[in-house]
Amino acid sequence: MKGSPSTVGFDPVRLIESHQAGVWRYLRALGCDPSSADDFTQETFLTVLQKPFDDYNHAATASYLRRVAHNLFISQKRREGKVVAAADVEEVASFFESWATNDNGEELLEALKDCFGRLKERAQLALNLRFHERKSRAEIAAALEITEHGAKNLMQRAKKQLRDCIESKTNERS
Amino acid sequence: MNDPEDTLVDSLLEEALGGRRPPNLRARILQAWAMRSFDSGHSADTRPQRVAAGLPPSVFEAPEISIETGPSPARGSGQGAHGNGRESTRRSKDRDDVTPPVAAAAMLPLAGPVAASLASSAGEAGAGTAAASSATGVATTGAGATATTGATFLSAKGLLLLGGALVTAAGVAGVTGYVTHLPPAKSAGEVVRSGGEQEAGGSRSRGLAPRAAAGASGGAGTGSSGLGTSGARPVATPRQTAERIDEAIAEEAIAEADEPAPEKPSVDEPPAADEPASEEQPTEKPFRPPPKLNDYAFVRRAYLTLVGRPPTPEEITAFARSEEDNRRDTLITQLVASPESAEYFGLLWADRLWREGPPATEELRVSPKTLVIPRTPVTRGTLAKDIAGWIEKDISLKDATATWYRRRFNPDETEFAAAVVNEVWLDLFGSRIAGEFADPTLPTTVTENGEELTDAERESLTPRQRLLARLAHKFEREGCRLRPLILAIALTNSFERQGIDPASDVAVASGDTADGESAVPLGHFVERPLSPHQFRRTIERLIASKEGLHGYVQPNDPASLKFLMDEETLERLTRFGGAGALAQAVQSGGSLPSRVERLYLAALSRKPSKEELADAQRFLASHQEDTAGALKELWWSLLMSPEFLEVR
Repeated sequence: MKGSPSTVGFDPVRLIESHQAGVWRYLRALGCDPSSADDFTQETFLTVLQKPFDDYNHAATASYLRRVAHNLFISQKRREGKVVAAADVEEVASFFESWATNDNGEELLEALKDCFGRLKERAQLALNLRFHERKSRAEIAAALEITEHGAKNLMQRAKKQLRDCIESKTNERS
Repeated sequence: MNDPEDTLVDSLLEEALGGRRPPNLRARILQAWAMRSFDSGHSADTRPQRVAAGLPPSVFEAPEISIETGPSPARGSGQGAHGNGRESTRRSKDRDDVTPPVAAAAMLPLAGPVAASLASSAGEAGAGTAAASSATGVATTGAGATATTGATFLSAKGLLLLGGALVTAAGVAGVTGYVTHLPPAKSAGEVVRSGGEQEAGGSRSRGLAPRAAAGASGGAGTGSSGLGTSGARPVATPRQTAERIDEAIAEEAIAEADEPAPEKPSVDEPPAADEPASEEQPTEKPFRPPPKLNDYAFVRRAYLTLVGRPPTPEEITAFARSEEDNRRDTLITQLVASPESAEYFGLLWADRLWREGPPATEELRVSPKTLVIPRTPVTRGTLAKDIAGWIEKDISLKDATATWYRRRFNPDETEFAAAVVNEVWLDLFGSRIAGEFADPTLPTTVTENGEELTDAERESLTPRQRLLARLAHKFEREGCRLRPLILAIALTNSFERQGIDPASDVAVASGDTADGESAVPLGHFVERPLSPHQFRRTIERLIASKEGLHGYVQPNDPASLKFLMDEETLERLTRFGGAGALAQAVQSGGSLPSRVERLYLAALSRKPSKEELADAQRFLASHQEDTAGALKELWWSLLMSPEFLEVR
């Protein structure tokens, strides 16, 4: 998407409302905590609002915004002296290019839910305890009557299955 | 906490299972955009579409500040009205509060609020008149008026017969203790709707839901002037309105930005996909709006501003322990819904209306042939209770019984709603949006009969006036009820931000600007001394006695404030026995640090810093022979601190 000085039809409010969720999700997927995702989302829009552009369509604009967010994120990490695995970042970017063209990632979220439903009950329970009830690994281990190491492995395996499931869905789409 | 190997899956799981949805950052981004434009001095050339007529039509040129015709794309993705961005973006930056020196030099702690009251009342001397004599005259005139109102009949059972429709007097005027004689010109249907509106308000006196449902069912009557809810358009929630207010504050910042054009922004096009992030990317840190208050300061401000007293240590602890995502919103909502808040705002509004003493007979006339007759003599105290009842029961100020209130506040009533909004803003933020008391300086067409602004009129308004007009229109359209208005303003992000000290800000201290608008930047909380009402309620909370203080605060009458600083009050405030804050700390039996912490929570609504705690412990250690006395010294010094005497 090429930026343009044209201001015709440029509506910052609509731009923010239409794309903020997608940008935020993308930043979270890159590894930002929620607060940092808030900040980078804001900075992304402030950056593009400095010079309005033609909003040709949702997918192109979403891609543009993700690229700006991506650069801000990488720049910040570099300033902090932190290493970001380029392959991981590009993989996330690829996922979003495939899944978040028009719905800010809602479909990707639905895919994850579908994949989650295919996990074994025990894996679902472990992830639920982790992400819904925000239990510690020790608490999860106690609840499942396994060791902490076992809980860690169980959740890692479950997440790997989720990743593979999403990737297979991605391949089906493409 | 999360597995760093797969941030994508982690983030999706956190959203799918943990409910961590994308926040609504619209208001924050727009405000940051405005502030950045202000800071960097963007010229009109770089943002013509914003300078010409404010921000885009979808937000800033909309005639309503409250209308939501449908979910936005972002909201459609599942964000609720209470977006969690408010919570997730919260910062906890402690203020550099003044640390009260232990055993500081003796001075009257009451000097701040009393002095402020004396100053504010300087131009209001002579306002008070005898209530009882006037009330007698009202009753006499009222009786005559009843005799001449042929179509109105007040039966012995208290029923009002109007054109064949029976409405209980209580349904029309019972809350305020007035008997209403409505003129024949009013149709029965209108009166019935009015009563229905009050019933609806009374049935959910603790609720804060918008009136959309009542409006759609015809319950929110419009009255003869055509004001009130239309019932055909959805009404924004207080949270949505708060977001609009934040956006309008951003618009104000844009309008004030008139510095030279900046350098061209460094990022105007997306880099190529394979292009690494370069140093040409923006290097400045993400913009931060003025820091938000930390939780302790926020809770103190919320309580002082919305119920007129600081929180108790237990209330602070309960808030601190809450794990609710939107606990700040929840606290504000609960406070505004409380009877204590209604009572407090009743006092504030009674003071306003009582500037000229009790109502004159002509002020009670609602039509050439009809008066609204007080059942009991009108005093400042009964007036405060009346208004508290109206707020508590969510009753419209457009009710006929409020006629003299409205006239007292805005004689021709053309700018009544805007004037009310202005004063509520003043109560919360410490400065008005625009104009002066009862004179919001708006074109009369803005609010009269709920009419919307024409394009030309809108263009002629300053951003402040535009915000005022929109809030006024919303207030009027939703039935002129104070509580939702208070809630919407209190829920703004701006209300959570650190305040400004007018004494240390030359631009603010110099007073209003040349065009008559306040020099205080819109949406900035003005730090100020506790008002006499706040001070009285604070002392009553600290002494924790059922008896309270013996006196009534009348800000217009400095003599009435003496009881706040008499020996009896001070003795009760520093008493070792009873349920007072000092007594609780002395009798708690805990460790000295825990007692010190309790005193800090009681006086300043926060825990002591490490340095303060160390100072206090050193002081107490040097007075081991009389620990209680040393605690009293510490307590006294806290009560003398500016932090205690101000709302920040």
